[in-house]
Amino acid sequence: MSRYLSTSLSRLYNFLSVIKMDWPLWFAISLLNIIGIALLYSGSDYAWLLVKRQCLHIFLGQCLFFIAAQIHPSHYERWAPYFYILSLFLLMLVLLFGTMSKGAQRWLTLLGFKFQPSELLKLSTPLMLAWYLHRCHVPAKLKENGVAIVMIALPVLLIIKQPDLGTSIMIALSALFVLVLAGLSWYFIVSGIVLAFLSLPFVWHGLHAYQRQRLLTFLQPDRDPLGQGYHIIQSKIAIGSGGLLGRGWLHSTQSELHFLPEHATDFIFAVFSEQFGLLGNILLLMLFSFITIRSLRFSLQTENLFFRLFIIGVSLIFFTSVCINIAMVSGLLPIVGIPLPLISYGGSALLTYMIGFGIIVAMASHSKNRRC
Amino acid sequence: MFKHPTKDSKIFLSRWCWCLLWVVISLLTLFARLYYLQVKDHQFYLSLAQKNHLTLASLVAKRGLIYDRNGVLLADNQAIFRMDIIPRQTDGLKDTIQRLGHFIQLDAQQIQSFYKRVGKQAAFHKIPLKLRLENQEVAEFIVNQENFPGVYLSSSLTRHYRYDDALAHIIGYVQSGVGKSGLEKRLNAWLRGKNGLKQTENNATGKMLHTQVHTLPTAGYDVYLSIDVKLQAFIHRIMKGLQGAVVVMNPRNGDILALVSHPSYHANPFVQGIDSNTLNMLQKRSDRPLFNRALNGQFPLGSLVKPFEAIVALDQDVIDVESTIYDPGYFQLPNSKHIYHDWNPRGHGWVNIRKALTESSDTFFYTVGTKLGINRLSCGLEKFGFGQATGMQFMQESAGLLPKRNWKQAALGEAWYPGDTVNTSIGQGYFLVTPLQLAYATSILANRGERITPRLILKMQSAEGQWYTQDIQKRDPLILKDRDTWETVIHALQAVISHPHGTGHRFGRVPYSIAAKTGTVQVVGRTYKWKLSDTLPKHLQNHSLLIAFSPTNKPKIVVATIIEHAPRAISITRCVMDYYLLGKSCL
Repeated sequence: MSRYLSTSLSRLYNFLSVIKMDWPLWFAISLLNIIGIALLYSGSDYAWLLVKRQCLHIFLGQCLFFIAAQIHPSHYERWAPYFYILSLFLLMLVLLFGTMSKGAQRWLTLLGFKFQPSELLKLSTPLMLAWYLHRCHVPAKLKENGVAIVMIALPVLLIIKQPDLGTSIMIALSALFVLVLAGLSWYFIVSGIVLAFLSLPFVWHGLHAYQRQRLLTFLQPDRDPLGQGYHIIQSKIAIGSGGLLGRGWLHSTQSELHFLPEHATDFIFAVFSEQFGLLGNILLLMLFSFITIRSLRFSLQTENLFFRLFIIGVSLIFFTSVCINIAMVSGLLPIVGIPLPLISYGGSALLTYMIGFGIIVAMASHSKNRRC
Repeated sequence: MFKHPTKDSKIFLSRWCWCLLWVVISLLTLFARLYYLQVKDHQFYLSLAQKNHLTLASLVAKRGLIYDRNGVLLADNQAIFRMDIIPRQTDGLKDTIQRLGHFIQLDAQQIQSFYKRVGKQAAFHKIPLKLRLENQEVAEFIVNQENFPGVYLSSSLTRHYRYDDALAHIIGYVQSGVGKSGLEKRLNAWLRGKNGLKQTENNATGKMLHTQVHTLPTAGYDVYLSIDVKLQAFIHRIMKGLQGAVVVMNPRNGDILALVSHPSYHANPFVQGIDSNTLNMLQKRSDRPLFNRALNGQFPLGSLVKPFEAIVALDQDVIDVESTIYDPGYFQLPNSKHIYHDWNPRGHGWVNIRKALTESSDTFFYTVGTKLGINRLSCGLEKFGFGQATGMQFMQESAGLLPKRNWKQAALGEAWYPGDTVNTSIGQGYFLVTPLQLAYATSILANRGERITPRLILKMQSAEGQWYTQDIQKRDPLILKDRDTWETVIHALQAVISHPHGTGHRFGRVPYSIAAKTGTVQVVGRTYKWKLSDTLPKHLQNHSLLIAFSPTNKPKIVVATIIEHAPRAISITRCVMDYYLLGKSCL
């Protein structure tokens, strides 16, 4: 009996070692998925509908995560430019034939599925940049940096046009991270930051009316407590009322009685905060940081610059999204519409991150194998 | 191209460390922010969260009812309906209000103030649209209720007065649940009861989830007045067109049976919130309908002082029953040229105390008052309650004014002249009384010295059924040296009505025994009056006064009447007496 058990255990072990997977990373990601489901369940009258759909998203995401992890990373290197061009093409399709929703044209309907091509750019832009910079001498020269900036600017501008300020900022930021990691000289970095500040007035003029409203509301939420300011005021109330230990799962009044808007998507962090308090928040932040830092560590384990830059790009997109989402929900930054990665309701973003981490795992495990 | 793996790695490693630093700084910032919100400001946000979904509301206690002495309901509570809207629950606010207009009268001001509040309050709060709906509006709305999601009808109790204007001066009125005048104000603590407390929980659409009652309300005390509302309303009616006051009192127990001040006002409009125009008009009217003459009107009492002065003089042995004085129609102080006229310029000839009271000889009392001196006079009159509040509970009354030597010095800074005593002795000069004081003084006379404080409240009943009764309040009786003095004066007062020369002979023959004293008070100086007597404008005509009680041996009723600018006190008193004693209405 015990022999049978041990043989089956060893068979399982053999099977698991054949699969390319970083189990701690997988565990942390799956935990976040489950937290997301729990929050969706607690926060809505239509809980079952949302929970069922999100379970489907998670199942799909997990499959893609595993599949992406099995593919040899050299394939990604080969496909990178085509993938980039394809996603740019889809972005243009969105502008031409996209579905309108809440005043923005972000969705594309393919074979009955609605998805946001802008999410794809979160992967294809770092992939393309890494591919390009990998071929150049490091640190990259001025001309090469210029080409890289064009590669970033193209999708960013297309996404701003939708308009989707949040996603475009995320892509721009992460791509700039890749440039910095690739050895962009401090001279460029500092002057770039100065230039960004100088261009703020022009950016202000370029913003849509609703985006300006959001910025003003952020600076002064009491300006319009029932309209624009309502979201941020209710969200701060939800977080603040959570206290140290939280009010308990299914015992939050702000989210369960619908005072908190968008509680399934952008403001899901406020739901978590109200229910689990500061202690829960610390654990959640630790989980996010664990995923980020473990991915960042993979980049040190490989010598391949393409792998390194891609891993850095995706994990920093992930981490920065977390930071911006929490900062905006807690009133530190204006509301720009960035969901909380792996937790917020929504398929496109979840699938993108799952595939991204799958590729990271693939890169990490293949470089390990090569060492052995 | 040639690659330097070592150099590559070096740069990459240093940049990687910067990345890590960025991660750590971001985490610390977020942690600081969350700590600030969740620990430092936790209580603040918690209270905001509770304010969002929990509402504490009071359960309003039923206000105590007010009855008259026979259990006739005077003030009760009626249901009124109000309409509120929760904007978030409606399908289209503008459309809803427009459709409501078919069933409910809405004026532009109501709609405007509604929209004003919509802009200020959260969309899940109830916002009042109309505070008082007509019964028909309520009925029509209820039939169509399912077409109006988010529109709520709620009912509450509001005060209603059955004898609106006849009792307004006594009962007063309530505004937003608080007594503002009269007994409603004085008895507010008893009438209002104790409000309960409930907590309701609602969600973001304003839907009520559940209600928890913390404490139940306790109804206020029911109050029974000494007033006989039939008599009160009757007097109110016969005073139509007159200004003045009538106080009817039972001298045996001090019950105030009627306390009429005319003109009066309607109390019900005050409950509903009177508009400022109407209020302004009430306040500016020259006949002062808001002024309670019966308790706060201070009048010179004129000849009414004479029976009390007579008792003081007889008791002090200044005169006796047989003393006579010759009345030539005027009076002069020794060593003074000033002439004090009698009301009858021809005089009354030889007068004793009985004739002096019956015919109301001024000269006789000029002499008596001067003999008494102001000290003994005011001291004696004080025992009849003049110059001080009667002590009737729960109402605010004026004290009148009984002039004394040291009062004049203190108040006016002038010495007391002998002429002041002469004026006081016929109730002129500084002497002021309220109608209630007159009734009280007359009751002492009718009771032959027994002093019983007037009372307006007979009993109260708590919501648990417990009774609180107000006992008869007796004070030290006024004891004279000779009990016959009472009978002498009362006998003379009977003659006021029955004797052909009595000043109250106009009263006529009645089947009951009655004692009375008439009085006339000039509004303008005597000489001025004589020149213009026929063409005098109404507001300068004399006040007429009468005190009376009946039956004379065992009195059941005391009436004090003051009619401003009209000689109607006698006829009004006759009506009151006939109505109370014989059940006969003079209308």
